[in-house]
This record gives sequence, structure tokens and C-alpha cells, in this order.
Amino acid sequence: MTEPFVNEISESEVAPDKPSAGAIRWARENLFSTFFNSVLSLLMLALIVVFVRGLLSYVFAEERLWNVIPRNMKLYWTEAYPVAEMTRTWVSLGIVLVLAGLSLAIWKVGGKTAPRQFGRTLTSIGITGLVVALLADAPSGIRVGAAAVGAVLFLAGQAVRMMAGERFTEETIHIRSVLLGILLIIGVIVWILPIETGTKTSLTIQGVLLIVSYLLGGVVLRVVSEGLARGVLVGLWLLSLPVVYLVVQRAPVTAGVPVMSVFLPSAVAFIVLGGGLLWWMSSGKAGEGGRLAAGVVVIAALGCWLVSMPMLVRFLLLALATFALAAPTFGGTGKAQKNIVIAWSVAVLITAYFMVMMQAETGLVGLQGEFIGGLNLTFLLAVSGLVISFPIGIMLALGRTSSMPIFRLLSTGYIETVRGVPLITVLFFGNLVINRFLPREVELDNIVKAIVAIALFSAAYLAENVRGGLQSIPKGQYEAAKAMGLSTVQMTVFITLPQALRSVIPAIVGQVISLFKDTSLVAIIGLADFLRVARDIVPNQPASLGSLQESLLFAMVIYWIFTFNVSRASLRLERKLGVGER
Amino acid sequence: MTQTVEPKEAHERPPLWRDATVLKWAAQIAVLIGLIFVGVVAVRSAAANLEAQGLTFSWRFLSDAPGIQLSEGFATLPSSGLEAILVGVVNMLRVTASGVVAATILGVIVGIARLSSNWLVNKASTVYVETIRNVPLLLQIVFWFAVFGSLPSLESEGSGPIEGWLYATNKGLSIPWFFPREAFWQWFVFVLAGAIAARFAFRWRIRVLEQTGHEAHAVGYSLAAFLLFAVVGWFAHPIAGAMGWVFGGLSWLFGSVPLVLMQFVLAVAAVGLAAWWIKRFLDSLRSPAGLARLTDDDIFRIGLAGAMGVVAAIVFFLVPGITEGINLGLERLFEFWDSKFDFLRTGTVLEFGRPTVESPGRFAGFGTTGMTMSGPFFGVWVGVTLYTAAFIAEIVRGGILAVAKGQTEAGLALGLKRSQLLRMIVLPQAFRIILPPMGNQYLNLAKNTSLGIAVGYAEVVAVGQTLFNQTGATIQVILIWMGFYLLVSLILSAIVNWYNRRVALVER
Repeated sequence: MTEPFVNEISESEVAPDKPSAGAIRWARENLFSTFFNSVLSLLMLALIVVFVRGLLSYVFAEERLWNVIPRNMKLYWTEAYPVAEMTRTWVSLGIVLVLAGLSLAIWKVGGKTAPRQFGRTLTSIGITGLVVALLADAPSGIRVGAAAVGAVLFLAGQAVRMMAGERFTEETIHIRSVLLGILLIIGVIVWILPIETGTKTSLTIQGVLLIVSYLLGGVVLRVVSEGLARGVLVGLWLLSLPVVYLVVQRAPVTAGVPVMSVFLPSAVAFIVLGGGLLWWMSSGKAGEGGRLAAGVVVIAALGCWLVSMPMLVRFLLLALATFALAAPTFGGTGKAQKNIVIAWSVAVLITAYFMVMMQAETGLVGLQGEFIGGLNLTFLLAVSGLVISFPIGIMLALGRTSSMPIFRLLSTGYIETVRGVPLITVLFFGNLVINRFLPREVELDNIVKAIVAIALFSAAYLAENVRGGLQSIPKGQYEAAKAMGLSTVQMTVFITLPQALRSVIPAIVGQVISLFKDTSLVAIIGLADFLRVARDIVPNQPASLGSLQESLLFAMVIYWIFTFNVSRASLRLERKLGVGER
Repeated sequence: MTQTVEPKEAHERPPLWRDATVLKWAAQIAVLIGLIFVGVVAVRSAAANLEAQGLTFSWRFLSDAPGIQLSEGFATLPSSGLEAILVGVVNMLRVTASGVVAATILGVIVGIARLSSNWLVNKASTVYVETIRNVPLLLQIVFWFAVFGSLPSLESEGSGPIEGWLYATNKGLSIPWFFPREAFWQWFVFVLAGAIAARFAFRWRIRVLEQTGHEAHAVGYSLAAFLLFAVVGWFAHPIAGAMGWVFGGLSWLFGSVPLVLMQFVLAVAAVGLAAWWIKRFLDSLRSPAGLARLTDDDIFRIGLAGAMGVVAAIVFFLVPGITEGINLGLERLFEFWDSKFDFLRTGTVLEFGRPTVESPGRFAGFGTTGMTMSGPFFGVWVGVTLYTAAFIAEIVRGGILAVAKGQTEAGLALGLKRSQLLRMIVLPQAFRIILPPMGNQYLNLAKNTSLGIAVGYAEVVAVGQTLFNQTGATIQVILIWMGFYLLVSLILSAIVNWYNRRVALVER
């Protein structure tokens, strides 16, 4: 279920290019080198032809109802989201794409590729098209179309090879211009396809947004430093999650919320009083008094859940406790003190803002049940599960590697228990049992319960990954940190944890992929995620009866596109970071 | 950081609130108390919530008749909740065992194909791995189940590819099968003895090979020994019926032993086990120079083991119900095995059955006429097999790549053929590297069978869900699930660890 996998760099991707040889020589070397190999090749060829032909005739068979998929695109993406409010989902997508464009520019993703590689890719796509045309048991229109596209791409690939001439293996083609080209082709296809004009326009706007924000990212880089831009962008990504789901898509109506009478005063009070407290605690002169004060705040933050008071105060107390515990570590000079107080003020304002949004009623009309569904829900579950599981997982990993036996025992017990049971039991636990253990006035939403369950589950696996990183750090790092006079917390936060996290990025990406795949399990407990839409909702419409396999295959392709690309990206990242080569 | 440190006198202890040891323990105990407090609050509110819903937390549903019907298993109309769960357990183990075998075979083949120098084979296996492992398993299971549903329906005539031998219909895939009959277990005793004999024969011939250097046909000898026992047993199985006396005696023993005696034996066993574990643990820490200083962790472990032994012993005396249960369970167990054996009982060992169509849409009952694979089983089995095989293939590939290149070259220099090289040099060494992650994959496969619930396969989770829908015993069922899967994980990882220690290189 959750088995992070690590891609290894295959030899062909690392080895220098061999001088190109003729096709016949290539075939003799790679397919018919020995008698046994020749037999194997022929057998495999026969098998592949049978399989591909079978697959194609399955795909193009008369009874396949592929038209169900474009017709139900809205269901796949958003399920029951009100049609009148669809602009909101487009805005959400726009926010994500703008951030993606900025990130692509600021992290300088892309680079260059060689004409050889580019031509080869074009040629192989072309050959695929020709094979489809040759083998498919399909209407002649499709076959001719596939043959035409295949031939064009094949010729284009060969043309690239010709034109490159001498500079055949030099990396001269920008990947970003290739991506731009693909985007343009998609744009043209969108306008040819028989879909609604509104959707066409929206898609075009999204594409333009992506390109514009990419260009904007280049401009930003010239004005501010790379580090600052990246830091701000990470913050924006984190904020985008609640903004997209709580504000944009939920359309809150703040009329009934006591913003002026409760929220604003408490926020201001917390900023002033908490800020003062943090200023004192981070000054380095607080000593034992500061420790005692932090302890009092922690007890208050936990104790406030037992007496009734506004949720906002409870959350702000929790945040204050976190800041109070962290203050001595980050404090010291006047500048650091100022930073802590500013960070605290921003945190209070953000918390208060989102609490207002959460308490407000949704302004969407015509809702039945949850307002998030389809791929939209799948992304929400995966991303928020990941974000929440991160701090928990790091705490568990630190606990498990700690020298304190009770913490170690508790963390180990939790990690091993969760890793020993399947996700579906944890989801059932979240869905059916968590509510019973909470005070009766707290009623959690089904989606929230699923997120909590996924986060608790994924935290245990994340903890094991992080632990691997912590254990890989040479002892000298710990000793050097101690010799510098850093406290244990400072050593962890500034020295060991950053190194540990960087060294386990590939493992974490593998886990993100399995987390994304695992979110499909919420279909079993009744949430309308992408899988459930594809399996139950679309094929059970009267107009689409009998389209179950088509719908499932479509879902497979979509899941595959995301996970495959993430795993490829992780491979590149791994190579860039030089993990395993240091 | 900026203060200057005053020189201290030697051995001066810091005040209590600055003593790192004291602070650490204080923090740990505070967190522990906090967690216990949270736990108590949660349990109390759970009790209050249950009471408000008119439910009580009890285990009665395990003995009551649940009134549910299961889609497949050894008892489709279970007479008690416990039996229903056992049906789920057996179904889960069935699909796990067959999935492990199939996934291992497929995974090893694909893994080796990934390293093939043949371009087609190499690319095809890469496409397989990259496609399968990037699609959610649940989706794959649902898809295979849907494919199964589109197979032709079962008619009385002409619906199997080979009429009377093989059927592929939406009611099931049916093949001929052997079914154990009344004398099966008596014969099985001989088969077990044959396996042990084969092992001894193998060792003996290997010894001969090592001493003389001549081909000793170790595999042939052990196979012959095994077959000899199996064939003799086929005819002589009534003799093994004598085992019935042993089981009968044991059953009588547990039925009539006084409770106090049994309690005493169990308590001594618990304390003895703890003492044995502590002794072994201390021995493992002892270096030739003597016992090293124990860390707080070691003392904690020793204390925990000792306390657990003593607590278990006390519990055996305080709660006689446990001992009674153990006694009764063992008595029943041996009674059951007694019923399978009877000295000089004659009868058939195995019976061959072909699939039979009873009426359109219905195969004849399970256990007599062919083995039928149901749709849900097919979906789960194909799904987990293909999925796990993709991961096993990557592990096999990594393991083979990790074998030092010099080994291959040395093997080739000795004049071994490619196949011999793989079989005798590379694979045995790769096996050591492959084994631990492979065990992990088996565990994942076992856990992934829980997705059977999505296609209605009656395994533990699905049965549990039906049970709590019927009885409202949600918390209890979830506890049973977790306990069961933890047990499976523990057993599997214990096996893998044991085997890993056995095959590990002895480091010098």
C-alpha cells in the first residue's frame, strides 16, 4: 500500500552516448547477438504484437463508450460542485498554475536537451502512431489520422536529426521551449475539440496564466535574491492550500461571524500580550523564568480544551505554546527578537483569518453533501495529508532516535503499530471511531476525518524515512555542534535535521507518490474522490451504463500521468542534489 | 551563550532544576502523564457517547449468532461472530499465500528481464514495472473485477473453453482439483516424515560430495526419499492413524488436569521465559572481558521483561478464566485432531474432481467438483500479484546489480555458462540483499489484501465491516483488525529476521 520506491538511474541514462550505428547493426547487437537471444526476441516480438493488437482492438472496439469521458469531465474534476459557481474552481486552478509558473522560473527547472534526444523522442512517438495505425482494429478514420500524425512526427524527428548535423549531441534545445510548444499544441487541440466555449476560454486563460507567471518569475529573480524569492514562494504554496479550499471554493459568508466583537479583539490581544511575552523569552535573559513561563503556556494551551471557550483562543494558545518553546532557540540578538515577534503577529493574523473563514457558513447554493469531490478532493487529501503528516513524522523520528527511553518507546510503539496495519483500517478508525473519543460537541466533517486518518498513517512512514536520514549523518556533525555550544534543540534544528531531510528527499518523494495513490482508498469509506467518481458515479448514470471499464481506464491514465511524472522529477532532483554521491 | 562560565569546583552537582538528567526525566514523565490523561478523557467520552447511543462495549457479538451471509469461505453462514472472523482470516490467508507465490515467480522473472541484454525483453519489462506501480492498487483491483464481470455468463452447455475441464465465466474460473478425503491427514503424516527424510538425505549426500568430490546427486536422493515416503504412505496410511492415540491422550490430559496445577505450570513458564530472555540478553551483551556497563535502555529492557513475566504469572493466578480457556481450547484442539486419525482406518486420501455445472449460473458445491475462483478473489489476487510483482522486480534488479562485478567476471573466467553463472554465483549472493525488502513486500501484499473489501471479497476487513454494521461493535472490530494485522506482521518479520540471520554472511 505505502511502499516508497526509489528509482535507480539506469545505466543508459548515465553512460555517454555511443556513436550511432546503422539500424541493422543495432538490431544485430541488441536483438540477435546469440541464437538464444534471437529466439527470445522473436518470441517477445510475437507476444508484444499479440498484446498490443489485443489492447488496440479493445480500445477501438465498437462497444467501447469513450464518449462518456469527455461528457463527464466536470464530474471527474469536481464531482458535485455547483455548476453556477464553476468559476471558483477555475480560479483555484489559476492560483496553483501561477504558483507553478513562478516556481518553474525561480527554481530554474528545465535546462537543455540535445537534438539527439529530442529527435529520438519525436521519432518514437511517431512510430507509436504508425504502429497504432497498422495494428488497430479501428475505424479507418482513426487509423488514417494516427498514421498521418505518426508520419509527421516521425519525419519531424528525422528532420531534427538532420538539421542538428554536427551539433548532434550538444545540449542546445531549451526544454522550456519544448514545453511551450506542447502547451501551444494543446491549446490548438482544445479549440478543435467539441467542448463548450466557456471551458475553451477558461483553459486558454489558464495556459496564458502559466506562461505569464513563468515570465514574471524571471523578472522577479532579477529584482530580489533567489533565497528570498524561494522562501516567499514556499510560504505562498503553504498558504495556497487553505486559500483555495477554505476561501475560494467554499465561498464563505462572514456575515454571521462575530469578527469585530470576538475575533479582532482576541487577535490584537494575542499579538500584543503574546508578542511581549515572546520578546522577553527570546532575549536570552529570561533563564529559568522563561522556561517556567513556557511550561505555563503549554499547560494552558492543553488545559483550555477541557473548558469551553472560543476555538480561536484554543488554537492561538497552541500556537503561542509552540512559539514559546521555540523562542529561546531562535532568539538572542535584537534582530532575532524582532523577527520572532513579527512572525508571531503574522501567524496570529493568518490563524484568525482562516478561523473566521472556517466558522462562516458556505455561500454555495444547490449543494448535496460535500462540496469537494473528484480529482479536486484527491488533491486536497494528498496535499493536506502530506502537510499535516510532516511535522508529526519529524517529531516521531526525533522521538525514535532520542536518547530518552519513554519518548523512544512511545514513538516506536506508534510507528510500528501504524505500519503494521493496512490504511483501510486506519480510515475506518478515523471515519467511525474518532468522533466517539472526542467530546460530544465536536463534530468532524467526513473529509476532515479522512485527512486526519491519512496524515496519522503517513506520519509513521515519513518518520521511518526521516529516521534513516538522521542515522546517516556522521557522528562528527553532532560532536561539532556540541563543541560549538549549541543546545540539543539548536543542534537538531540547524545542523542535523536539514541534512537528514535533504538526504532522504528521494524516499520522501516515493512516499508522496504512494500517499497520492493511497488517497483512492477513501472511496471505500464513501467519499466521492476521483476513483469513486470513476467507478460508481459516472458509470451508474442512465446515459453512461456499461462504461465502467472505460471510466476506470481513464482514471488509471490520469493517476499514472501524475505519479509517473513526479517519480521522473524526483529522479532528476536526486541527480541534481547528488544524493548518494557525496 | 554570551555569559562567561564561572569555573566550578569538581563534582559540584548543578541545582535540581538545571540538572539535565532530572529535566529529561521530568519532561518524559510529564508527557507520559499528559498522554495517560488524554487517554482517560478519550475513553470516558467514548463511554459517554456509547451510552448516549444506547450501545455498550461488550464482546458478546463474538459468541452470538451474527445473522450474516458471507460471499465465500469455509462457512458462508457463520454460527458466531468469532466464526465469521475466522472465515475472513482464512480467506485473507488464502489470497495472501497464493499471491505471494505468484508475485514472487512473476517478480523474479521480470526483475531478471529488466537486466536482460535483449532490448525488447528489457523494454517490455520496464514498461510493465513503470505502468503497474504508478497506478493505485485499488483501481487495479476494481478494474480486474470489472473485467471478470464482463466474461460470458455460465450456461449449462458450452460455456467453458474446454467443456467439463475449464470454465471462464462471470460466475468463476473453474479448474479440476484434488480434494482431501477422510484419510488425508493420516497420509499427510507420511508426507511430513518424507520431507524430514529428504532433508537428511540431502545433507548426507552433500557431505559425501564435499568429502569425495564426486557428483553425489543430492537433489535426486532427497527427492527419492520424499517420494518413497509419499508412495508408501499412500498405501500404509492406516498405520499413521496411531497418531490418534497421542492426540486423544493429550486431549484427555488437558481435560482432566486440575486447574491449580495448570495455573502453576503456566506461571512458572511465564517467569521462566522472562528469566531465559534476560539471561540470553545479558549473554549477548557480555564480551570476553566481562559484562559492559548497562545503559539505561538495557536496564529498562531487563526490568520490563522481568516485570512482564511476573505480571503474567500473577494474572494467571488472579484470573482463573484464562487458564480454563487455555485448558478447554487445547482439549478441543486435540479432540479435533484426534477425530482426523483412527488406527487402521482405511479410506481415500485424495479425490479428483472436475468442475460441473449444476444449473445455469451455478457451479456444483465447493469441495467435490473442481476448484472455482470467484470474481472478488480473482480481482484481489490478480491485482495484488501484478502490483507486488512490479515492486519485487525492482528489488531483484537492485539485488543483482549489487553483486560485485568481480564475482561475475570470476565466474565467467571459470568457464561457467550464463545460466550457471546466474544460478550458482549471482543469485545466491543477490538473495541475501533481496531478502529483507522482499519480506517487506510480502507484508505489504498481506496488508493490501484488505482492499478486497472494495470488490466484496470476504476477508477480515470486509467481514468485520459486515459484523459491525449488524451489531454496532465498531471499536471492538477495529481492535480485532489491528490485532490481527499486527500479529501477521510480527510473525512475518520474525520469519524474515530468522531466515536473514541464517543466510547472513558470518563476519570475520
